[in-house]
Amino acid sequence: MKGGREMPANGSQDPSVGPSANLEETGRRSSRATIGLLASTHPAALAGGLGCCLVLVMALTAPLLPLPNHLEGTMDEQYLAPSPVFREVAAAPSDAAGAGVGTRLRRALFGELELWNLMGTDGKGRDLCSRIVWGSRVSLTVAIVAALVSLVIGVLYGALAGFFGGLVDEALMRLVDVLYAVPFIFVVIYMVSILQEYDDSLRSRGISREVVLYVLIGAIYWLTMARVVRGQVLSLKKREFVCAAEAVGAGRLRIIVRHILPNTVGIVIVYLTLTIPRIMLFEAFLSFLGIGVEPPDVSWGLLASDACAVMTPVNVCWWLAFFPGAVLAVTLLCINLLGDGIRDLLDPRTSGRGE
Amino acid sequence: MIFYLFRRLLGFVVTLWVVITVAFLLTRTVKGGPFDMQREFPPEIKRNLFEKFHLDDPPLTQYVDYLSGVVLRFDLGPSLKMRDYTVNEIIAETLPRSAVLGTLALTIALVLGVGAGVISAVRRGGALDAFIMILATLGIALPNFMLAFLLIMLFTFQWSLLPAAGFGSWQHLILPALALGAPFAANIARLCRSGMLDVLGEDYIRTARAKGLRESHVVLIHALRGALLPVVSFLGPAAAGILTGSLVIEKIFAIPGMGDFFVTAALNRDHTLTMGIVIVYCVIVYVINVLVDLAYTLIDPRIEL
Amino acid sequence: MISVSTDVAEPRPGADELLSVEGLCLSIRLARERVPLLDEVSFTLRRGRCLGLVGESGSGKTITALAVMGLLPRRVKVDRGRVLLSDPGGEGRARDLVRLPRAELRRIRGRILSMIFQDPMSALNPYLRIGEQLIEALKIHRRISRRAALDRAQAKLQEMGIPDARSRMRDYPHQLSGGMCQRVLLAMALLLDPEVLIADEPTTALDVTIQAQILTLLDTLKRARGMAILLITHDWGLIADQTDRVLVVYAGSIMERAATANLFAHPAHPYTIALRESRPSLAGGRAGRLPSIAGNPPRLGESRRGCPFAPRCPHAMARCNERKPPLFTVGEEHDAACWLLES
Repeated sequence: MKGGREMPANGSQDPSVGPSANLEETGRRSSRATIGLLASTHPAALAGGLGCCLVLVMALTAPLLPLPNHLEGTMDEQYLAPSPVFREVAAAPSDAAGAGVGTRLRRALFGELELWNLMGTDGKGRDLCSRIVWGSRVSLTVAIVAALVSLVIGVLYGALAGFFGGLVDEALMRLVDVLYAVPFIFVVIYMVSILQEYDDSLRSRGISREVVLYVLIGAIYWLTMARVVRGQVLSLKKREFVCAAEAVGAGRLRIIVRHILPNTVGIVIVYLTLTIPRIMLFEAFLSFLGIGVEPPDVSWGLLASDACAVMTPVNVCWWLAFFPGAVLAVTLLCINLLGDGIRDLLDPRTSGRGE
Repeated sequence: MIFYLFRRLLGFVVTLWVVITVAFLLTRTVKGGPFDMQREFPPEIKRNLFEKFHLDDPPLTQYVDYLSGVVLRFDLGPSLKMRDYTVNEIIAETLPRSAVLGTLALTIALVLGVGAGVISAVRRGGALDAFIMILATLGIALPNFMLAFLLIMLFTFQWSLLPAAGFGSWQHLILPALALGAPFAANIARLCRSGMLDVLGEDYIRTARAKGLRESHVVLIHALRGALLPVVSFLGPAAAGILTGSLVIEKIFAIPGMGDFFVTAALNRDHTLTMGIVIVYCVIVYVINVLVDLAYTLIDPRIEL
Repeated sequence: MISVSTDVAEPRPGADELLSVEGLCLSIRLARERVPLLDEVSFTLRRGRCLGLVGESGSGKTITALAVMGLLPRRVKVDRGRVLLSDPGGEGRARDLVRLPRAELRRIRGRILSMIFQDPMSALNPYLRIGEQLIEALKIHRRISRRAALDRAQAKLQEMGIPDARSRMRDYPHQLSGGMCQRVLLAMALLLDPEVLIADEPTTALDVTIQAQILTLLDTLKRARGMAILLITHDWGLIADQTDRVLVVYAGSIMERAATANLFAHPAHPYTIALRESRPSLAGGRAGRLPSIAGNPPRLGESRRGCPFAPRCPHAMARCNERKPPLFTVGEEHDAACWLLES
């Protein structure tokens, strides 16, 4: 049992908490019951969660799927409208991935077949569906890494400020206030655009440009996380189980790590689901400006911005904009719905309200 | 109140100092800039640079020089890439255009957002509510350049109603302001709706209804004020977001505003211009945040600054 | 100090009955089920008389009042019953408020029927000045000028005992104390000279001295203006002090109704008797444990056949769990719903 998780008050008079919650019997919901409760009161959230899982699966299994080469294509196949067909593998990837486990598995499952032109092709004759699937890997990596960066910095900062309180808290939070007022985004945009100059020195130290990009993006969003975590820690500090731990003689670090941090998980998750969509949109934004993900890598943001660049009244390739946009929108929607559901579940005011 | 303004002024000074210092450090130390001592310059250019920027002086003097220049004379220095222009001149020309666009976008966001939010809350659970909320979620989930192109496709390519580029008449402003403001309208709609739903459950709404007031009166006069509070808090981040979004929107619609120049400057390594614009953005955001706080007190008489 | 009003209500002839609730049944939609809230509640409000509605929290008192006012929340529906409002002139048809179109009901609210609620501090809009909130209803129901409305509001505030009324009207609710807020709300409710006033726990959130003042005000209204008052409370002292007749409610059903004096002198229903015995008396000596009624009131959704009080009733019989007792006459204008009284 995680340290100090509170039990809901027994005998709640709320009539809308149905038998599926089993609150009074065990005083604590089993995880199956929680999912059941979530499903009945928040079908949208569950759908959102499923959607997120689907996207993750898609990104992870990309090498296994029978998709055409996403990096190269032939010019006589450019700008084709969608008309799916199964065909023999046309262009094997030119890098030496032919002997990899993934490719062997794929050959075992699908032979030499690939699904061609499910969503149309782009200006270089590359299959869009394949680029979207492979692009999901980059988009999700950006989102997760940047979110982790903002999470780690924010949580540590906020927890320290909240726990030590007093002057330390004052100083740390004043700094956050100042940084908050600085239009960080512009500074980051500037720094990202400068990144090119440092390519060589970075590469010589083994750091790829992408990683720095992700860290910089994450650096924009840690401020809110720090504030939120600090607020939570401040209110948790006053709760009884912290006093109990101190009375037993637990050291400060131990208290922070074992008792306080686990109880911030809820609110941190909620903020993550708010931040990740913003990170993905920011990546699209940077890619549009040409300073985000760069070819040969492909991300949803890059796909969307490429599509917009070739849009003319004459050559209306609707599929180039529609599919990446739809996938991006649906994924962000799923994350938002999941976040809403989790937030409702954690908020004691609204949980159990079965409208 | 005076105390509050004083504290804010102090915070502003500190923030501005941080930004200026960061600007100075970045421009002087970044590689490839004119201050990069490892680059080779032709002799006259080198002489020019040394004169303009006093590169002979020790770094601290340069810093103080720069700092005092900005603060006392509002002098942000010359542009590095656009000879014959100072940063101030460029900003003076481009800022009004961006300001017009941004203000229009914010107004659209408020009007659309609050309207949609109120309607959604009053017709809660109905088809209109669902429709509005779906639109709102889409507005938040799509990057604004996609929305911009969708609008261009519809209004310029398909229906030839509005121009897609340039800056001159009010028609030029409609599409960009819409594209810029739409994501924030979506957010405001959601905030307004949930704020409205919260307020409609309050006791004083029940009192108003018990007095026999018309429902429209109850909603607009009694409920709306409380519901607007979360919207007002959002205006700060919304303004900052509109500034950020303008970078892309101005580029798409070929509007020669500050955002467009910022992007070009960053890509061209025009460091003084870039940092100068950052400083201006900082001032704008700060002022807007103070105004938002003041607006808060106008709505809620219980708040004392 | 509890004093019992010796004013026994005698039905006067003529258009004396202002509001008549007949067989009201309410239900609420909970988790896709319809759960009964009120079962066959009937009572009459008469001019110049105060009817007390007493019961534990959750017994259905407030929802009854909301049903009369037409302010029921979305999930609650009226299944059966009528709420008849007689014509002010005394002649003409009575109107069934339950079935009235919304616009007409809105015109009645505030003008003929008014209500004050339990927590005065949250019943006023914190964002608007007191004056604005006071004159709203005036300007909508009667077309009078703003200046005239402000004057009337000021006069009413003074009537309610608020000093310096004019400057109070420029204040915001958070600048007033609880007692003041309740007076303002009372003034607001009375501005249009309504015929019926429903007061839902009007003094629960206030301290004792203020309570007394508010109650005196209510009493004056009843006597001087001939208003009909429905006083909802869980406080027996208030019942004894203020009301002419009492309705005892438990779990959405009427247990007993009588003139106040009779109820206190000869309570008939086991619930009423148990309530009376559970009140600690200042007169008696230390009695050890405080007396209380065993068990808990039924939770919402726990519908059962038979008398709702049966599980806790010391005199429960088998019959009590099978069928719900109707109201049996015990004395003059005195009924109680208990199988023990059938004979």
